[in-house]
Amino acid sequence: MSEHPLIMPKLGQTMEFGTVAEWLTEDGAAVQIGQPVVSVESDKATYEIEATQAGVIRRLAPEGAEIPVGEPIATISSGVGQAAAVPSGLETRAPSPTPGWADRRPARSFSDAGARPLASPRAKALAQSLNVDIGAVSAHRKDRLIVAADVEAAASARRVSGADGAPATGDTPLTPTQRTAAERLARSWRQAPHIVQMVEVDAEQLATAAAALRDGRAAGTLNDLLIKAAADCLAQFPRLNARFGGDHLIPLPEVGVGLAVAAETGLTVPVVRGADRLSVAQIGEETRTLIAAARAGRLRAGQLGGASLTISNLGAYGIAFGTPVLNLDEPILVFVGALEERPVVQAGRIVVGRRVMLSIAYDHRVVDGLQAARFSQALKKRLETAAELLGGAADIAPPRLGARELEAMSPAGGLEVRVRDARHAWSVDEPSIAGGTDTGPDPVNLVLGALASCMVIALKLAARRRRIDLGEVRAHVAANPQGKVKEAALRIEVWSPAPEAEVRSLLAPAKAACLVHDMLRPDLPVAVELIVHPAEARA
Amino acid sequence: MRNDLLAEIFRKGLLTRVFEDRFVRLAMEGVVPPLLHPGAGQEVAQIAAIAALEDDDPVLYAHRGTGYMVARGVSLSAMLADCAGRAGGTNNGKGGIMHVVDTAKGIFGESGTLGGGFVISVGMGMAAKRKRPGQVVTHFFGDGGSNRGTFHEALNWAAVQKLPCIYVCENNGWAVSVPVSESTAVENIADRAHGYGIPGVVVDGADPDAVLDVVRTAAERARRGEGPSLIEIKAIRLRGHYATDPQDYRPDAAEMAGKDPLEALRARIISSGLMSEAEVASLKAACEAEVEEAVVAMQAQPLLSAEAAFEDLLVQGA
Amino acid sequence: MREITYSKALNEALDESLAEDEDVIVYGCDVGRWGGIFNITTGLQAKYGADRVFDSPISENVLVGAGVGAAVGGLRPVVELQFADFLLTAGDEVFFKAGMWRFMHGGAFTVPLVVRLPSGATGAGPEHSTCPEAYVMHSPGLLCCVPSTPADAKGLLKLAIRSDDPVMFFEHRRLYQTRGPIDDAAPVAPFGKAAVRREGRHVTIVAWQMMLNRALKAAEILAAEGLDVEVIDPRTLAPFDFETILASVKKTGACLVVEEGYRRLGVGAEIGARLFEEALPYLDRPFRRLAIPDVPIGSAPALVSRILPSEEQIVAAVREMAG
Repeated sequence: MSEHPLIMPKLGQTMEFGTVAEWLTEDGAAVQIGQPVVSVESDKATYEIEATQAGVIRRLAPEGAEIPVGEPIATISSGVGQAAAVPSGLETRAPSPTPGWADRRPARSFSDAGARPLASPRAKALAQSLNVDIGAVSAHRKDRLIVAADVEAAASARRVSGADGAPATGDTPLTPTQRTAAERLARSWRQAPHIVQMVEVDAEQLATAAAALRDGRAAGTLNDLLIKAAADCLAQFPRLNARFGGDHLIPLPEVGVGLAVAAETGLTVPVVRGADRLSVAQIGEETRTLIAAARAGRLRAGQLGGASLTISNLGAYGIAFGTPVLNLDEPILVFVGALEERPVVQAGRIVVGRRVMLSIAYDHRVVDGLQAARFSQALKKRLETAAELLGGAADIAPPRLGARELEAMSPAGGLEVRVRDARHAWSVDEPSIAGGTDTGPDPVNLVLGALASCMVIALKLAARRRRIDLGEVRAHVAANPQGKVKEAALRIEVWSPAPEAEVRSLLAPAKAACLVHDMLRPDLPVAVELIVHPAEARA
Repeated sequence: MRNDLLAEIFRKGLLTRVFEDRFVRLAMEGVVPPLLHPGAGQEVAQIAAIAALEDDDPVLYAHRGTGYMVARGVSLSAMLADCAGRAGGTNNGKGGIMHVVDTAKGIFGESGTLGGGFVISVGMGMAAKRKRPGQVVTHFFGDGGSNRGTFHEALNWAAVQKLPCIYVCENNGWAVSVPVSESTAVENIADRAHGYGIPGVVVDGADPDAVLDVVRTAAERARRGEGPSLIEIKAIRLRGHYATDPQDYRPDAAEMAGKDPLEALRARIISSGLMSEAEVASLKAACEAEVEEAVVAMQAQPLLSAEAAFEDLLVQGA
Repeated sequence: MREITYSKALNEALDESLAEDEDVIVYGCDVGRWGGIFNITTGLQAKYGADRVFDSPISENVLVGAGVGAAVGGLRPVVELQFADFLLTAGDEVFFKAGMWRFMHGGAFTVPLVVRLPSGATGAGPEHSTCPEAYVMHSPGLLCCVPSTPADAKGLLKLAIRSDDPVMFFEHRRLYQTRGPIDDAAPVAPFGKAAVRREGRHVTIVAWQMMLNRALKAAEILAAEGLDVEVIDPRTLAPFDFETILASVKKTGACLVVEEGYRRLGVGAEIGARLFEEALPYLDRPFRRLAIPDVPIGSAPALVSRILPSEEQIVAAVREMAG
């Protein structure tokens, strides 16, 4: 008994798939050779397919199905199997050999034994800027080309063996990376008076959240949740998001949270930037990448340094609390201890409670005791209500990249609207006098600010194109404080070494290029659509 | 033919001859490159043929001679400027004498690849038929070009679509150094018209009346929407392929001078009393003066900027 | 937003162009009565008459050359050569006449000609299988479109017909049946503007038409491994948007070009040379190209598959580059 497939034929050169139009026989029927059994359609023609064998036909696709060319539509089972014999008498010609240059090239290797190692241009530039000796960098690629990631790994990782690769007798020399790390820690310890506050956190919600994360019911890991909590708290205390600058505090541009990662070659601290604006799930995506890169020794320069706060979670090792050393120039380090079950007092009785100890180190030059206490308290509270962290801005999925589409969400009750585009999130609100909670600028101010910003940006871009040195630019925009905006006045001030006439010549092109200015035209079509769902439909 | 028209054909023929002789001398002086293919011997036929057309009927020309341009009154100094790399030319230094263009005067250029233009005149015929009914597109070419595949494709296409095209072959018997007897399977190129179901006519290039007549007939046929025609002018190439070509390959070179159609026309004009010897001499002087004026005018033009190398490529810019 | 096939998109572009401008004419072998052997011109002759949509003899030289002449004479011809390979059959007419007629005559003429060139390997043999757009990109005076999506097929064809310059329009035969979204209200990006079809940060891939689809599928597989590739579709090869590729390679440091033309001196060679010229300090990996390895394309399916860059090859190349 043999089975012969009936395939979708190629009815035209460009046909990639055809449609089963109509079965002309029943499934399981006996068919004869040459009997039409099914008609199929391509974009150009309809064609009846005949059985190539006598036997029982089994349909493999229903009418209307689209089947790729060459795929079977049916099979015919017959007791006869034959192979057509190749007609003899055809002389087969031996094919001529392939020219040596076609298709086959040896894979190049970029190391010459004894010669200096070869590195990509990007790696060389990076080595120079990070002060890394390219001779001390080892390549991870099979072709032995040293790439930027290798330089970064050399800069950030610790080496266990000595410079020549062999363990030395007696003293073990430190690699340049190890020396740098030691020096930075020493400086941090010497320069910043450390205070460490220890707070015990009721970890019930944290444990539940951790379980949800472990089970995959929420995206991310416990560390991501800790990062989110810490970032949110720091966003509430902007004055702590700074480093010591001698006679002034230097505010850090954004909230970056470092996560200490144990790689084989030592401890490394990649940074999640803008963590307060990300959801736990988004932080999770970022840390997954960072940790993988850190473990492979492939972190890039932009992924290290400049954090506002670092999290060190050694809870897995059973450490209860500690006295951490701050990373150089960072104001805060949160050391997370083990999550344990302990006897606790509740309503006068002893019950089992889950607790975790946070040991939070602060740079006492930046943070006084009271500010520290407030932060410690806020972080504790935040972790005690950890369930909330798995909601929040994650309610709104960021729109897809590349489109100018924004999503906005206003939780029930207040006027705050959380807006996000593909890469940023912000809040718009009304002041309390207008019935809002003032978590962000009001819409009119936002537009006025956009107008001022757009004009300033257009001016700066025009200056850049014409290579006119602009220096600092300030703008003042005003409109009537209440009700519909009747007119707006924008004043731009520029401090520039270039001649006045040159700078003035930028205004016209800037105005022409300013998209917000153009958007404010009266004939801009604005389509507004309202979709109403019944309340029960809100999942 | 009316006397005034005949006199005009003679004047233009003479002007062309004088112009081309001057061009060759300019080439010897290094002012222009020696890239002219002298049309000496073919001027009368070219000019008579064009005289049969309306002034706005587009013409694509062959590479031999400038009779076509002179017939239509294209500026001599502009043509010189094209070759001398000066401003004021017709093609901004891009094409030399091979791509002289003046659409206002119905001169629509030439293909650099020999025989490459048949397909273009066919397309122009398609446009004329749809947008300017009554207009005729005339394409001059040599015996050599008629052996290109494009000749056959174009004539077939023009015939089957009944396009208002006239194909005028100037058969001077030589394609550079190769005689027609060795290159072409038929004696009369006009016979090829049978292959396309269109009229094919042979005419003597030394007989301006006959040339004008057959072209006019072909033009009227085209204007009536009946399609293309093939005309073969039996022509005389007096000089070599290029100006300084010694023509060693050509056994009949010496006899050519005696067969010059311009000479024959000159004799006819004098013998019929249309002009006297003196008047012809002074006409020649006037032509020489006109040509000298053109040379002076050309040399007064500034040289083209080298940046012109990048211009005139795309409408939309780089 | 609606969905149409690539071939329907081309048909709509021709239909609308014929309706919008009386000077537009469409011709080629079999395009009139039969609607084209690939069905692209279906219904057009019935709608616009045989004076504007008509069949021609098998004369590729006249097909293109008459297009130049007709364009010079004020029409806007859209000529179909049945196979893109015939670009070379009509070599004089494409490269010299269409490409240079305007230039040779000092700008006296404009040549608003479109030549449609169905490309791609379908097992029809070495002279009916190539994607020869590199010859056009190489030659001054010609514009070159390589649309990958139905939206671009329609948008770019309409733009090509409106352009006053000669356009070689490569439509890929194996994309004819693919479907894609089209937003009739959205403006079409102009010639010389590439589309970033997928954002990423590890490797830049430049690909178009069928190779673009393979690159995007490869990107899905690679994403699961944590490798994010950025995929750029050039849309037109002349004018060519190098800036978008440069910006991408500044980010990724690594570039792979996947093309269906021959490898030697193909489009990839040009991109590689320019990266070498303009992006040297940002390059972090050797440049790579996947292309047909400098042999003609045989007809047996196994031979075709052997030499066309595959999804697997793209995945392997990216893994090797990013490693």
